[in-house]
Formats: sequence, C-alpha cells, structure tokens
Amino acid sequence: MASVDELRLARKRLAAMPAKQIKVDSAGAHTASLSLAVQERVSALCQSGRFVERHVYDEHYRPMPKTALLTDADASDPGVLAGCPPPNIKDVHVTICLDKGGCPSSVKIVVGIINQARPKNTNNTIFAAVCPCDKDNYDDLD
Amino acid sequence: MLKTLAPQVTALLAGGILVDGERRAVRLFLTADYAALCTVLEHKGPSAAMPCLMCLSTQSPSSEHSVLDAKYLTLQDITGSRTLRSSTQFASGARAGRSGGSNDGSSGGNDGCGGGGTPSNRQFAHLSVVLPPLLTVDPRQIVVIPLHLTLGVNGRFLVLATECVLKCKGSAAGLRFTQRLAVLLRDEVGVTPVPYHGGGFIGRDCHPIGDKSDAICQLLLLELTEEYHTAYKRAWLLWNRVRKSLNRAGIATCEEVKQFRVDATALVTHLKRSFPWMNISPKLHLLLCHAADFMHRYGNIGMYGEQAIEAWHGRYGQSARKNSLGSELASAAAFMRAMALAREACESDMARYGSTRKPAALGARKSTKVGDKRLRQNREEVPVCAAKEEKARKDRKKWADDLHEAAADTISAHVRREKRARRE
Repeated sequence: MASVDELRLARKRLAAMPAKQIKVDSAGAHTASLSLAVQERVSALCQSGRFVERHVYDEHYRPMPKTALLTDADASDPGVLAGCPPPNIKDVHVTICLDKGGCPSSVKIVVGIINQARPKNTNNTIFAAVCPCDKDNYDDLD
Repeated sequence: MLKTLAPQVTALLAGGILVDGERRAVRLFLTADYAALCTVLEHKGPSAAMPCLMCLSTQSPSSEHSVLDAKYLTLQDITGSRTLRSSTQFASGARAGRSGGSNDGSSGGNDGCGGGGTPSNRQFAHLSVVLPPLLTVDPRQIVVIPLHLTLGVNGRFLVLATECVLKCKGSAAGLRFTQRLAVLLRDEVGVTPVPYHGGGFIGRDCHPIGDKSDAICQLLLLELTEEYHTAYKRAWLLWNRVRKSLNRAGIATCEEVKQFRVDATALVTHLKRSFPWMNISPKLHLLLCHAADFMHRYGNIGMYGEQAIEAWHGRYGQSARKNSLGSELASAAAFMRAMALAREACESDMARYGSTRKPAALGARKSTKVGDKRLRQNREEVPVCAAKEEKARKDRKKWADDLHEAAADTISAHVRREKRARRE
C-alpha cells in the first residue's frame, strides 16, 4: 500500500496532465481541451481491448464498409466539420448532450463515446462543462 | 457556455481521434431534451410554424402556410415522405431571420427561394430558426430523444384515458377516475409522480406503468364504451412494443428494425384515427417519421439517448456537499476537477472496474413461488410517518386534479371545434 503522501503526489501528477485541466470563466467551468479528454478515453478503451466498432447501415441494413482514414484534406471538408463524415471514412461515434436541471440547478454538457459497452453509464462519459444557474428571486429584481 | 466549448468541438471534429494509430473522423450526435435541442440549434421551439428539427413539416394545416403544407406536409399528416433539413439550412435560415425575412418579407437564403411577400415565402426564408446554431450538426444525427419520448407518450396515455372517460361519462366521472387511477398506480404499479418532469413520472417508472397497462384498462372497463375501450387497449399494446425497442441498448436485427417501423407507424395512425381530438405533437412526429430511420441508419436508438445527462444531474446533486466552496461557480469547478481525476482510465483500471459479471439468465430474477419475498405482498410493511403519508396523499390529489384539468381542456376545445365545423 502506498503512503498518504505518495497518494497525494500521485494525485498532483495526475491533476497536472493536460487532459485533466479545467478552465473556469464567468460562464462556468469546462475542460481545457475536449480533444485530449476524448482521446484519453478512446486510447484507454483501445489499450484495454474494449473499443467497440459502431457502424452506419445502408438501405439494406448492411454495415457500410469503412476503408479510408481521416486525412488533412478531409479535415477541412464541411461534412467532417459538421460531424458527418462520409460513410467510407473510419469514425468514432461521439454524442454531445446538454441539459439544464438538477439540484442545485445547473446547465451541464456531457460528451459520450458510443464505441464502448454501456456508453450511457456516467463512469463512461466525459463531464465536459457545468454552468451554475442562478434563479432570480423577488428581492433580486427590485 | 456552449459558445465557449464550440471551438473545442470544432477542433475535435477537424483533428479527429487516434484509434490504434489510425486517425479517425468524429461522427457527432446531438442529444438532449427538446428544449435544449432548440437552444443549441437556435430554433424557435415546438410551437413554431416548422417545429421539427429534422424536417420541414409544418405544425398543422393553415390557410397562411397552405403552400408549405402541401409541399412539405404537416405534423398531422400520417402518410407521405418528409423533406429533411440540411445542416446548412439552420445557418441560412438564421441569416434570413436576422435580416428581417421573418417580418418584412425580405429575401432569405434557402435554396434560391426568396423571402417574397407571402407568409409561406417568409416562413420558408427563416425556417423557424432565429440565430445561427451554436453547433452545426447534420439533422440525421440529432438523436430522437428516446427518454423524453417515453416520458411524453407515457404521460399522454394517462391523459388520454381521462379524456376518453370525459367524452363518455362527463366531467364528474373523469375526476373520480383520475383519483382512482392515482391510487391504482401507487398500489398496483408501485409508482408515484415526482415534482420535477412537470409532476409526471420518472423514466424508470414509465416501464412498469406500460407493463401493467392491463390494470389501467381494467379500471376503464366500466367507464368507457366498448369502442373506446378496445381502441385504448390497442394503443397501449402498440406503445409497449415500441417502448421496448426504443429504449433498448443492443444493436437491433433487420427484422426488429422493420417491426419497429411498422409498430411506430401503426401506433401514431391508430391514435390519430381512434381519438380524433388528439394532435400529433412534435415528439409523436419524431416517433412516426424519424425514429425508425435513425434506428435503421445506426442500428439502435437507446444507446445514443439522453440518459447519461439525467444521471449526471443526480451525481452532481449527491456531490454538491462534498465540493461545497465559497460560490456556486467555485463548487462547480471543484466538482469538474474531481470528475476529471475520477476519469483516469488506464488499462489496469479498465480491466478492474470494467464489466465482468455475466448477465443473469432470462427470468432468473423473477419470483417463481407464491411465497417469494421479492413480491410486494410478501414484504414486511415499513412504517411510514403520518406526515409523509399525508403529503403523498396531497401530491396524488394534485396530480389527479391536474390530469383532469388537462384532459377537460382538450375535450372542451375539441367539442368547440366540432360545433364550429357543424355550423360551417
């Protein structure tokens, strides 16, 4: 078992990693780099052999073959920038979900990676941003 | 908030993700409740003239937008193919809206169709979009909100039962029915309404209500004519089939997708034909026209749903005390930091915390004997304090009154419409 000091140091090292950085501004708190956070999770899935391929199906409900990789030329394609690459390009299915609610009330943004088992489990999603909501009461409006 | 995050999303889309050394593209899906989807896409909302986020169908037939009604159909039409929006139409619609296309008839930017002078042309120019979207997403990749669809349809079915009673037996019988329904849902189904979700039921409760819909139909047996009773029973039967496919997380087979399409169409068609006062809401329209297409294209709907964010609301609330700091924003940041560290997912952790349990055999967790202690009637009663019982009784009464009021409004509007139609 590691000592408490060692655990604290390990925590500090972990918190200093670029994928774990948080930015706080007037709007709320959010991850400093979403790309790194998603990449970290996808890499972990690949290393542990838990990356699950997801398909886009054609009109006969057959998975469309994915043969091409994303290139720099593709990266400026409007379809790719709108999150809808051509079906022949290998892809990762990512969901972005926004909602207001909870107690204390806040707007939250959660990013999910579908290429894994149980993608809706909170442990398998990335909590990307939170913005506390202040409700004006009667006195505030005066 | 999303404006701050939008450049990061763009960077993610442009940069792609490395998977085993291969650079892959990101297929982005947008999922949230209807209100949040409208906020992200800067759409006017479910009451707009073109309420659907995926297609150009109009709300309901009107003389003002008759040209658009004929060309793109309305939500109330149950047959015909829909014209999908394109991802660029949100931005061009917003430009037209901002340049005054929605008000003064100036030209818009959609496929060469100018704003012109007629209401249809003005509507076509802005497509019910007010501002450029915060995120550009292909409309085919907007998820058909399975959780909120389940919540909405489930709630609508309970109102529908009351509407049928009002139609057959009048207002007093309707109120008596809602009170008995509230008691039945508590005693036989074991669910109670919650203060959030508009005083309705939580998503998990919708499934036992559907499974025990026979009890609701039994309660209606003496209240309705045979015609309405049979129609209502069939509606539950169809919805229960649709509900299960809609919320399943596994990849559907080709037959399941075909069956889902048939069932979803049959459900909405049946509702529209058997209960003439019922309007097709944007959620029912999603089910009728877009849910099966989404399932066909991606093999599943439940997996892409909005369950995760709802679960995060609970987790945030639970951790609020642990991360409590000077201000709400500081507390939120502390929670974010804690969750970023909790997200550490190295190979060894994944293997340790990953799913290792095999799923139970079918029916293994169900009671098989009469004396099984898993059955509600065999459990020891937990004493409940009088104040809690009194509050639950008040909540049930309020829920029943609200249900009756909503149903009465719908039926009286329908009666007025019928009278007006007869006069004309």
